[in-house]
Amino acid sequence: MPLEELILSHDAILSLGCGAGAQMVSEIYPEIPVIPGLNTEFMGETQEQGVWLENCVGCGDCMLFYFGGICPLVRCSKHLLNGPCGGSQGGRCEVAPEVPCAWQLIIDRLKAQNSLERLYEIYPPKDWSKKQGKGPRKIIREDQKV
Amino acid sequence: MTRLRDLLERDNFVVTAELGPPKGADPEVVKKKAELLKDYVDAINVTDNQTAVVRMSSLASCVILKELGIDPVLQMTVRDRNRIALQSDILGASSLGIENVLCISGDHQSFGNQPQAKGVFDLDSIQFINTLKTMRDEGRLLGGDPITKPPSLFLGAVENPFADPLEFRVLRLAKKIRAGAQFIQTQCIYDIERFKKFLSLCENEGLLQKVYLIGGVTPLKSFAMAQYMQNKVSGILIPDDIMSRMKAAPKSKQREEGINICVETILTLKEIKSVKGVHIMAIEWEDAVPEIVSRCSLKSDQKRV
Repeated sequence: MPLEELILSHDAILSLGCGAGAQMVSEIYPEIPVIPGLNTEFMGETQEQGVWLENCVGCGDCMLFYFGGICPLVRCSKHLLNGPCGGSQGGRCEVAPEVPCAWQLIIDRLKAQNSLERLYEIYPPKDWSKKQGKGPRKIIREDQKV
Repeated sequence: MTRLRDLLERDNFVVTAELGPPKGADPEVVKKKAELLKDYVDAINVTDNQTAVVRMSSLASCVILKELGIDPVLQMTVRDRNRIALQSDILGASSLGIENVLCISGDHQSFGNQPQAKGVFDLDSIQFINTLKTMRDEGRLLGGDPITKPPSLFLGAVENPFADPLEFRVLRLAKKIRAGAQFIQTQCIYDIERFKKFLSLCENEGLLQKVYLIGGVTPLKSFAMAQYMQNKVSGILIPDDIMSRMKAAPKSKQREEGINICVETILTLKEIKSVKGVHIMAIEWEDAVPEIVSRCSLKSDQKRV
């Protein structure tokens, strides 16, 4: 049975893709309810087999270079851009003992790169309009269109 | 000019205390605590939903204090408000004559009774201080729009000399001062040696001439509280000798021993030239403050220069 026919002969679709995948299926078959089978959480890296770490919020204005390749917006529990809060102790975040303090990581990394002076600067408030300005963000590459 | 600023500028050793608003709408609770503190302190800090537990708003409580003739210090966290709300609340505070503002990031929402809340953190505490400085000194909002009447503000920040990494605490204090902090209230001091080390690092950077540093103290109620603070509260260091003293005191005498330690700490801080006052954070124990202040001979009605 062709896929289309198979789908249309059912009452609902359970999507085991990410949130974006579930939405796309729903767009293709608008008359059939799509049930998201996963709670999609984050963009991250595979740290080891079976372990994933969130490390990008997709802010639209990357500051990784200034912070030694560690993003405080996602790795710091308070998204601080100007150094650790008073809850950083022994390299750990106050929120939970298993969470490393992002700022301790950043300081150690910049020390290794001999670039601690980057943290002297007062970084201004983040421009969140690049992340959540006007509805969903869209990327268009005219050169790739067919 | 606020009383706090005036006393600091005339080189008095100031005493401030912390008042936690009630988990309800009864103004009498604020008034009762305020009356208790009133004759012993120069200004009263009102906490802003501390430990992320919902309480009466700091701004409303400050208005109640103001009506009683007390100089309030409005604590404001960036945890619950974005930049629009922060700037708006500060204009409102200034319009009500509340000018001392302590800019803090705030305890993380996961600690409180609304752990499902979205933490805002649109600005961090340094950006917040800098925003307020620009509003006051340049009459501009973030983004540049002019303000018809700029707010009057005496800007404060916090620093924790006991958090890590120690060297960076100094750099962070320098950033807060550059951002506009005029006074600093520190995290609770128990470890005087570490505090002195922090001060000498600050001294090396020439920071202590640029800001009024007020040392924070919290009387320990019991050995159990000392253990809790030592083990569970990040950024608190209680040295072994204080832990042993609290442990050695019989249960019925532990409050007394806690007050003794607090008084000794204050008297030591008072001898340090760069420390311009103390901030007493008697957590849900405001009635300990009169005794502590009296024993340190720091009553606010004593002669001021």
